[in-house]
Amino acid sequence: MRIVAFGFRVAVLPALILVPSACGDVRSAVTTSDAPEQPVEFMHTVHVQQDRIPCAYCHSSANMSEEAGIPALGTCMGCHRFIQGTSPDFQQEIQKVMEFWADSTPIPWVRVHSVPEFVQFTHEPHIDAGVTCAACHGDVASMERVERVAPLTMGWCVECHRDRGAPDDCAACHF
Amino acid sequence: MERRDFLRLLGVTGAGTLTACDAKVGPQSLIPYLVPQEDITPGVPTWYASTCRECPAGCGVHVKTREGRVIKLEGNPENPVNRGKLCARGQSAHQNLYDPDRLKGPQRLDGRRYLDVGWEDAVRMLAERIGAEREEPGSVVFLTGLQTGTRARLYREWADVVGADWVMFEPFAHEAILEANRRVFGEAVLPSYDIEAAELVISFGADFLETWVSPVRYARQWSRMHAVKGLEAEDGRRPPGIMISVEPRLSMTAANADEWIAPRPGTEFLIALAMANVLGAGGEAAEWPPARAATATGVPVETIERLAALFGERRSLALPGGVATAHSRATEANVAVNLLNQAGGAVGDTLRLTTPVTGAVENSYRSVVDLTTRLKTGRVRAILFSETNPVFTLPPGLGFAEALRQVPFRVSFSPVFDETAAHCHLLLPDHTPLESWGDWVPEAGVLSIVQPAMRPVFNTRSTPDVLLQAFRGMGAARAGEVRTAEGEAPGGEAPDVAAPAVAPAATLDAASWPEYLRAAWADRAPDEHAWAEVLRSGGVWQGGPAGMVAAGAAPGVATEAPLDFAPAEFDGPADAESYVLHVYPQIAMYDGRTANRAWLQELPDPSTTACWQTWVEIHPETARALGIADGDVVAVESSHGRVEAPVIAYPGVRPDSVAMPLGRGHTRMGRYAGGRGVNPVELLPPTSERHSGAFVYQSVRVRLTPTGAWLPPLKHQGEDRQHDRGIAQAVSALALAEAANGHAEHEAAAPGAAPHEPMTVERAIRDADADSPYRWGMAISVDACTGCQACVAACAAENNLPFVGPERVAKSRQMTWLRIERFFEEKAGGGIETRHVPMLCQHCGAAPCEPVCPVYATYHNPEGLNVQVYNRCVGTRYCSNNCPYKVRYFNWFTYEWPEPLNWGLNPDVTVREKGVMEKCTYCIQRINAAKIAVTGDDPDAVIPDGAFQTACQQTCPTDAIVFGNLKDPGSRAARLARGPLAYSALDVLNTRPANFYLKQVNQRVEAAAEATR
Repeated sequence: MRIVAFGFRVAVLPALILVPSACGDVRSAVTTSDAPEQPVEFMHTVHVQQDRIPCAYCHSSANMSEEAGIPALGTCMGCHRFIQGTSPDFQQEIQKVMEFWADSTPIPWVRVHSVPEFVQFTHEPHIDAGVTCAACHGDVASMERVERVAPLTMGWCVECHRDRGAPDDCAACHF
Repeated sequence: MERRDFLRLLGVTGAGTLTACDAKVGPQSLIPYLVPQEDITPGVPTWYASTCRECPAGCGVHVKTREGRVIKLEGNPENPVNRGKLCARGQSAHQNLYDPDRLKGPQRLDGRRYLDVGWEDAVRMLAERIGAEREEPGSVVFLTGLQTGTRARLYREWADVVGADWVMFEPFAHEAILEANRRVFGEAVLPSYDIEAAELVISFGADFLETWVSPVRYARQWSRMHAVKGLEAEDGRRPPGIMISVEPRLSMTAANADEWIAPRPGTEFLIALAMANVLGAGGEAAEWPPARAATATGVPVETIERLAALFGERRSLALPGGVATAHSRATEANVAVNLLNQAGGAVGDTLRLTTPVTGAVENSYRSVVDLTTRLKTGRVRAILFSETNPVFTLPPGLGFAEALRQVPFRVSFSPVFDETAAHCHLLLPDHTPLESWGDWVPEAGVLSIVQPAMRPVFNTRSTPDVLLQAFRGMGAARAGEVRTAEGEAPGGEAPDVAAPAVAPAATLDAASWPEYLRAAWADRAPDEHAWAEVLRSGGVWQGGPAGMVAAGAAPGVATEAPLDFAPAEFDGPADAESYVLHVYPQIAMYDGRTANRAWLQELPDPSTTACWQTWVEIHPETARALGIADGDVVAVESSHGRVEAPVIAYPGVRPDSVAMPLGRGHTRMGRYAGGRGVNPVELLPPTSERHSGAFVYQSVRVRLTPTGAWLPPLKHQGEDRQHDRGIAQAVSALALAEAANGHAEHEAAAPGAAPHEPMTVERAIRDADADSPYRWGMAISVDACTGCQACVAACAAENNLPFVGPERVAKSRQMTWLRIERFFEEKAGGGIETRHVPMLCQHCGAAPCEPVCPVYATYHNPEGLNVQVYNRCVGTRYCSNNCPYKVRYFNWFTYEWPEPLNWGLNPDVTVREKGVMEKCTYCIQRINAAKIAVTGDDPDAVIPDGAFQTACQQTCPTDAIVFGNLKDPGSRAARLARGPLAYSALDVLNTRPANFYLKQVNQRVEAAAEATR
């Protein structure tokens, strides 16, 4: 195992130089701001803590797909046709949603959680195995703006996989 | 500099690059849908049932889409034509959809330039011009490829009402088969052939495994006829079927025959006639005793008598030729085969006239010849082209392109700017079939739906829609006129039986083409529930239309001119310096319509393994005599034209012939087709065969003159022989029969047998972790593999394999995780035997690639897979150098997918980049998906056998590839791998491969003779 680790460390350095064109896409996981500003200041606190909407109401494909899914604007409008907001701040943000809807433009959310393209992550088996959303995404319910709390590095993934007896074979994620 | 310092510096530079990238790329956006999509779950594929429209066979397909984009096609298992299988062209259909050189929208010619024009203007122009010209009968011509179903019905109605001449032209229209059947059986139909039921199939030039009529269907049937029965079950063994091929060139089909007989060019049918003679047929056959046929064909009397005896004593079927026998005696050739089938009792048994299939067009070529004459008179004022490219496919000597200049208004509906479109004033690009509505009648009783699998990529419009809109734009013709036309039974003497008998609302008044189509289906799908079922299943398989749309517009010239059973004639001097030119359609290019697909351009030809070019096949002896070798460019000259192309020495042509594939040599169509190869049709005179009017493809002798130039031979495989390495092994049917009779005798050890424990399934199982429920493996039949390359194309589509282009193929840098190795073996009694071996990663238990990787990028996983981790790979290429099977492929470049070709990439598979090694993964993305599916409820559940298939296995028309879990004793793969035919490739190396090959069973003809003795 020692030899392998040594080989990998040495190898990774030249790899950065050999493939500079790839680093943008490939390494964005490391580079995304932990809590980027969003086009609409969506508050999970209000929706989850106050309104008690379950995660899967909006992120509905998490248990059946590799993508958890970002709700369509139409899903937002299901409620916000009627709910205009209780404070001027809220009203202003909800007004933005109404404008996107009026323009028939989807909201360009900024990605917070991503893994490199050579990782074939899929949500479904994690939900099947009983991993909670919070285990990777943190306590989103209490976040005013979504931030990334877990590093999403391979070491972090593998640690959890080993603790839970999930496969730690490279081919579980890399193909 | 110290090594340590160097590394530190390297690290700093690396970090610097990283930071630079950060600033540039920034965070990514997540764009959700505006409105939740009913049938799209992000990350989950949605499948649509449709019909493949790559050739007239009309196989059923399931189109896989992700997030609204087509990423893969697979056969529809419910469709009776192809039963879930597809050929290489079908597998690449979405490269047509995403062709970067497609027309982006309608255009009109303005002087010498094409200008973009809106659809409304374009349709108005079309309506105005046709409305003005149509008063004069015969002044508007609509030329299309073969049509059936509702589209044919709409075209018929439209042409009748508008007063246009609708002409159907298909380059390979099998007119001679129709004419021969009319003469012998009284019905001008293309019958269905039950190859599966036959015990002996003799093909007289029918390339039914590659391009003839319905190759996927016939390949499947052939494999079931030809397979050694009882390999899995304990009982039920019976002698395997026999296939014999009689044709001057070793086509892909002949390469899979148990015996290939190569008569003199243009004489193959005389063997059929002589066989009929032996079997007691009268008439013309009476005049051709074997001795006379032997003199004419150069095939010994004994061979003819032996074939006749076999044919008489078994349940047999003789298949008449397509392009291979399209010579000056094409009708005679087909009549001779009919007589043989009659004499052998095949008619009504293995040859069924009652269930005809689509694929033939009566008077196809004759109509175009007739049309050319009319064009020259200047009486045709407007011509419309759809799904046909006559300027490319017709011989230049016919003068079609020149005659076109006499027509003042020319319109193309082609989705690409092809040679015919380049002669047009108005370009109205049609959708590709994957964006279109429609239906297709592949055979009597079957009606298969064509439905759009995604929204149009470009600003294109369905041709039927354009015709309906133009019809409305013409104004004059209204409902009353339509009804009159209907009263006359659209289709005239050849009624459009493909359309439903009662269709209340399918008229030209329909608001749109989908509405017209839906109305035409009204009696089969009366309510929305039934319609939904049609869309789900892909069509109706019983009770569909009873026949085909049979004829083009020109009336048939049904003469009873006497047949002349003499050898076919070839234009040009019959001296020692002249060679009969054999032209043939090839699986990737067909008639040239698929030429702008890079995957297909790079797909190895099944016979020569060549790609990206047009080549001249010459016999190795001829090559030696002329002092030329692979890659030497020769001028090929007939009295009608001259082309230059590199030669490939191929033992499958007679020394007195040369062969060239059709389909390349485009001047237009796009970046991959244009200027690539030559079009051998330029060497041919525009001759019609006397009786059927078919184009005579085999018509000239040519002279070869070395030009002194050399082009790198773009062959995927360099060596034709296996030099006793035992990669493709065979066992004699005689030995098998003895074993079945209890006289099991150990075969002589295979060449190079190793001094180690022989490879077995049990050893393979030990190569996976004991606590893993899986050891993945394959059983691959050399006997069943026809070399058709469908798996190669399927693998490319599933695994995002790039095309590397001709320059890199010349350096052997092609990327094919799976390739078909084609080996020639000398037969004991003379002649050659061809063996096809699908060669892919063997997922060895003792993989030579693994210990040499310095970074642990390739390793053996608990399920026995040899895994390649792209993000670990640093590209030393040691693994590839150490792989004895040479199945690892290196990314020398970051290969490009010009927009929108990249839309077809499979998001479940990483797109590799420069500097990374890659290879077959056993479709690990499918393994993982299946695992997730079964373990959802029960974490300990094991994937059952057959729950998923690898891409290559899924599409293989002959089921030559069987993937499965070797640890499951009941899995098909494990049962076959334990069977008597199993062996391991390069077993001498003791690599413990997970792929078990099944030997080819040869000497079947000898065994049959032995059995009767």
